[in-house]
Amino acid sequence: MIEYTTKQDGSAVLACFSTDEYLIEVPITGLTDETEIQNKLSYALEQAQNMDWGE
Amino acid sequence: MPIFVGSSDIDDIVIGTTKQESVFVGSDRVWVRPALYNLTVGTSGTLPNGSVSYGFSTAGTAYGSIAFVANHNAYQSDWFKNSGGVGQGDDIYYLLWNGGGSATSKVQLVIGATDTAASQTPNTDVTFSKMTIDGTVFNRTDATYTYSFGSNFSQWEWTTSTNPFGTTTGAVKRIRFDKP
Repeated sequence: MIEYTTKQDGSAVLACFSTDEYLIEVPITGLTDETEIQNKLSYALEQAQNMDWGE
Repeated sequence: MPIFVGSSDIDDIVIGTTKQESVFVGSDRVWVRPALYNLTVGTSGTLPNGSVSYGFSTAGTAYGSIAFVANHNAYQSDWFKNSGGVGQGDDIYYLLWNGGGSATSKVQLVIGATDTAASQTPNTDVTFSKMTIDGTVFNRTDATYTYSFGSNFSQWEWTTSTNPFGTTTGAVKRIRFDKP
């Protein structure tokens, strides 16, 4: 379970969370299913961990 | 905010010989001269997960290239570089479409640099509101944004099965960034 906050960005709604390594903001406009939101957040974190960040 | 002439979202307004940098309606700024890049398409070849990337990257084995169109006189000459409080992301580190194999197809934009000090490039309209690749529009607020505290790189990712760069290496694609 990823804890997140939401913020409004114009007409879009973003779910925001951070880890020690990343700040991640995921568009969730119109989503109300918490499972679906969690899946999107988990995928975003997995993608971040698999990225080449030039380090 | 775009200004259309017919169906064309214009990127240039000239009065006499003066390139206009912005347009106001009353006190509201409704247009700024966008930043333009020419991207020469390269490819990663097949990656370990079976996917292929097309576009431009300086990560790992570099491919493709990108050039800022300086003579367009964008509203900010250093659009992504510590300009207007945006941050110190050096410039575009890579911009590509990746798909096929076991990968989720996506367009990725990464701003940052490995050779200069950098800071976060924020996920706001100050950075950009939309990116257009060869006519295909990607709204910033539709992207997943990731900032790496370790590298100071900022990434926007759009899930899409359509490769806006095409598969012809050496082709030049126009990239446009707008902000309100």
